Amino acid sequence: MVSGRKYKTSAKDIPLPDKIGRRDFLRGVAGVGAAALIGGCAARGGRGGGGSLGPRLPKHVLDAEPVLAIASGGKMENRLRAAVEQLGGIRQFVKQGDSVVIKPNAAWQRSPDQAATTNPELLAALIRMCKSQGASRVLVIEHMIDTPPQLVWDVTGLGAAIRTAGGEAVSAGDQRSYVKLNIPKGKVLASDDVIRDILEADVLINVPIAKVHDGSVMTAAMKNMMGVIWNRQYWHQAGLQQCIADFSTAVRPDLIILDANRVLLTNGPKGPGNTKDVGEVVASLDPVATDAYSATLLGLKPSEVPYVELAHQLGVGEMDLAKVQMKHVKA
Amino acid sequence: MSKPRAATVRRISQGLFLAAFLYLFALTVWPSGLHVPADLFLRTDPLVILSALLAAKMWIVGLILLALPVLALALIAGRAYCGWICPMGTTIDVSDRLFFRKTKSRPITQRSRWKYYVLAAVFVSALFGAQLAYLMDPIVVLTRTLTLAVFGPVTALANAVAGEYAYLQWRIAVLARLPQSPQVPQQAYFGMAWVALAIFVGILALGSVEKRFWCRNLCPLGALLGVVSRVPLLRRRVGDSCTSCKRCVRDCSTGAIEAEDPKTHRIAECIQCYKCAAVCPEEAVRFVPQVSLAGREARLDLSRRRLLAFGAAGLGWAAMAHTAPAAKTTVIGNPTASPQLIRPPGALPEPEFLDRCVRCQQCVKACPTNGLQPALSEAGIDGLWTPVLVPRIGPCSEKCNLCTQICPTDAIEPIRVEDKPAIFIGQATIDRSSCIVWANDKQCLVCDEVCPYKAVEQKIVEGKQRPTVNDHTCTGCGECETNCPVQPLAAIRVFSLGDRRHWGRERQRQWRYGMQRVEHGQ
Repeated sequence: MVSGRKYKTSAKDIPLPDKIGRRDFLRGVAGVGAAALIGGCAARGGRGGGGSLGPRLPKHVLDAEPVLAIASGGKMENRLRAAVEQLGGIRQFVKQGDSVVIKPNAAWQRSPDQAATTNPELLAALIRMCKSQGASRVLVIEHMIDTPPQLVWDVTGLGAAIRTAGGEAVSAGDQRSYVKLNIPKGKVLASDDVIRDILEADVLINVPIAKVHDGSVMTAAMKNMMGVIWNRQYWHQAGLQQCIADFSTAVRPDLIILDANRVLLTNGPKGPGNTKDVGEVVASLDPVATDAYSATLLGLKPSEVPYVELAHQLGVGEMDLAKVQMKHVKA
Repeated sequence: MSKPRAATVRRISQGLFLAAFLYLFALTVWPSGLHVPADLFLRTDPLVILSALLAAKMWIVGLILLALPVLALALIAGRAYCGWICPMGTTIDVSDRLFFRKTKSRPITQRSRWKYYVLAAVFVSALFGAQLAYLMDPIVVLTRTLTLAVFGPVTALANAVAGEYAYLQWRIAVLARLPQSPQVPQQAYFGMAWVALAIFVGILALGSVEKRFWCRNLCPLGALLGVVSRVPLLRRRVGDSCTSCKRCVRDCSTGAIEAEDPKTHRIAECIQCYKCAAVCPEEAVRFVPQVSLAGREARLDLSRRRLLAFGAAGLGWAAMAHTAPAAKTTVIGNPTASPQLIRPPGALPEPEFLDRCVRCQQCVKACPTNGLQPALSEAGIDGLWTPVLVPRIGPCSEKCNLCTQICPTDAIEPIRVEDKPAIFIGQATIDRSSCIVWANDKQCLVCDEVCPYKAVEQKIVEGKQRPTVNDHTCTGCGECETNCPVQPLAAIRVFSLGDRRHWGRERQRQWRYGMQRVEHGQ
């Protein structure tokens, strides 16, 4: 009976391999190769892209007198176009085949009406504008605060807006997509890890929304760029205001479109809080002037926002609105 | 239908059910857009449902109804579930074929009784209020293994490869022309992955002793179906042309056919795989409907002494479980043991939760922030592998309720996203000695900034603005702890002190929205 049988093995029973078969050899090679690949990947896991890059500054020459183009009325698309036309039109910024990178404010799981994130209609209009000008790719990049990214894209309405307008939504949650950026003019920040696509973009457009901010008084153009670095926490420890100003010396967008259609007046930056319908789209090349103007929309004086003053001192832009050429247009 | 085809049909059925199981598993992600219940296999598992409900002494018709078809199938076709449907059985079949080709299918041994003793322990333990099915239910074991030991490593590998590819594209100009790597799912991190893997590998390795070792000897679900199906409608009958060549005895998957008399077999061990019909040279074996008592064929041959011993073991387990420090609750019903025991929103009050949770890890898999982790000892030994929110890894996302949608035993009851502000899973407390605002006068309001419920409030203390927590609005979601810049312990941490599950929904709503009078007492 089978069950009664005892199985015995002795050294004699085990055949000795007289040669290594091809199959065994390949198996061994594949095993070692896979181990090396995985090991290699893991070993590199913690690094940034490697190397470091210098400041990212606009290609075009800035005018002597900063300009704020403030458009109101009309449909969102026309409002945006009217504002950008005051700066010479989108053709001044985007050339055929350029890769365009847009930095919106898409940090929070908040719906568009709560005014905590960039208006999706405005963003879609901007993407279409860049596309019609011949942009090869339009990337919309955010290092989000709320998780998971998919939920943020959905709740803000930005995901659908970007998709239908022909852009690509990227949430930069992987440390390997960051590279070290030198900040030679920084007072407390000598370098920082920045999303590589931001630094390598042919055209970089910052599309912030104007909000009060419990931590930094206000957020608009310069504070919005905090969403392209890897370690935000460090800024809080090193001194938030100076870091925002320092960083604005090294990463300067080619164009700033301020979403002031509806602004957040309390409980910023995440809300929900009281909002005000201002109905404006502001286009500018000067982040300091943009933020100074944005402060006035929120009922603040530019000097009440420390980083505006600090950036002004670093020569990033003009905080005295009397010295800024304001072009009001109706769409 | 010719005989060999029955075995082929069975294999196709096994393949389809395994594919369906894996597909449903893959569906447990956000955004779910679920049209099929992703936990279908667990919800229809009678062992999971019955033992969880028995432990909690809650007879929820909706849950039981879904588990009935599998029991009904057992009444009609015996343990066909094991042979045709069970994804664990299929996995074992594949593993046996790949790795243990030379292992023989052996005649039945005394070991086959073990599974009934395990089953006895499970039900006695459940009767005395401690759910034990999670240790050995095959569907649970498989789901748990897939989550902890497969899904996690797969995301890690995908991210490593995609990251490396992007790096090479950046550094080597020629590669930049190749298409970008597709977006891969976020890497998941899980505790206990090695333990889950070791158990699973151990189960497969038993195939070196005999084929389907697990199904024959250990599986409590197989035992339950065996007990139910002792007189099934569809039964094996051997015609007079049988020559007693015993090929069926040799090939039987579970050793159910008697070696002395191949015409008879043990019904409770037969998984209706139809191998015996396929190999019979005389084509004498048929599976035909019969309405009659099965006599000797229905016997289980259990040792009363062992049965009692295992029943006592189940009783002992239940008693031991109740002595865990986590089982001691405060006057308001919170567990006293672990301040870090944060349960997902919608979780039942702790004692009922422990009874109902089958530790399948579906919620852990589903959690889009990766914050839900399998517990090791936070909830006592009885709370092994139960889901715990670890806010430093990820918060309970404000607009997500996925874990509450896919719990097979409703240990986490379904909740609406809109109700989350009034479901208190814990409460944040600020450590003033490490908070850089309180201790170092820095400007930092990250906790305030990220709080979805505006529960972090600024107070003026000695002329300076300081963050504080409002206990009526803080739900314990952990966004603040996730994002706090202080390392390694956050300066704002969520503890179970604000866990108000035992209050019920209405009283929590009153607490949150400040109704006129609060119902106090039981």
